[in-house]
Amino acid sequence: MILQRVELNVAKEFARIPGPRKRAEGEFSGEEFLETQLRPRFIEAQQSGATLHVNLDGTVGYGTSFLEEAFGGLAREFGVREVEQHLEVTCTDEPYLQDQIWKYIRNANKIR
Amino acid sequence: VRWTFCVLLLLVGVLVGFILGLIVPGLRAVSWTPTLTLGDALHALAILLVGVVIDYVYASQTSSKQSDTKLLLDLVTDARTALHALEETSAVCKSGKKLAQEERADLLSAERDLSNAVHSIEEGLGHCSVKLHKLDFEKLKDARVKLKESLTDNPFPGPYDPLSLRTIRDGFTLMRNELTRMAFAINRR
Repeated sequence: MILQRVELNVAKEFARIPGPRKRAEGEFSGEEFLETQLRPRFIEAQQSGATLHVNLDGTVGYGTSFLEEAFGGLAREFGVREVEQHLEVTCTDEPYLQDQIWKYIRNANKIR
Repeated sequence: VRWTFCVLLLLVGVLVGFILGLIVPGLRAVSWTPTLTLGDALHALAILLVGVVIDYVYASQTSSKQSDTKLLLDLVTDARTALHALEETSAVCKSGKKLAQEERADLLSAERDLSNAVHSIEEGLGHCSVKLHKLDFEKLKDARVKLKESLTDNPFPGPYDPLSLRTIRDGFTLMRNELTRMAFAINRR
């Protein structure tokens, strides 16, 4: 069966209060999100030729470090073009977040 | 104010004409017999009508622009309030300790409020058909991103060292200055 869209809701499936960048810095980190949620779902979407839709609504907010580690990390692992082809993010709670995430994806390989 | 100015202008015109009539001897010799034809009356009516239309258009445009400016400045004030709230919330960063989960949540939430307040200004400018590049709106957005990064990039969730605290302070100053600049730019557009 070919999936059109793989869904990932951060607030419902991961945490309402996203944490820091690395696991060592605290719980619900960007690193943990990448490893346990984002990467597996992205691979699922990639393999079935679908789009991974990440819904960022419902949390209290996101730190720069969390977003960069998760989405920048995804682009460092799979490449910017691949991520652009299979990823879609929405956040009606904070409209500027989408632009920021795409900036982190496109600048993923720059030294921070 | 506009009508007072027009009446004043008329009075000054009459006064200047009267004085010129007294001073310049040649003018006293000129005789003038007033006549009024239907053509003259229609001509005067047409000029009056054009004047009224121009005044109406000018008045409606000015009034609409003034209301827009007031609404936009209110949005800037909202952003200033959100910035102030974020500054108060971020005071916990000075504790020298790692932020507790509740403090982290408050900080992220306050930062989101500021982000959305800036977004509202952008939306408002769009509704008023203001070209964003004319106001250098990107500079305000960049200042907001820099402030967010200073608060929630490394070393979030703390402890924040003196250098990080200085970056945060600079971020707030830049954001405050940008909001002030935006208020003046909106007022002078």
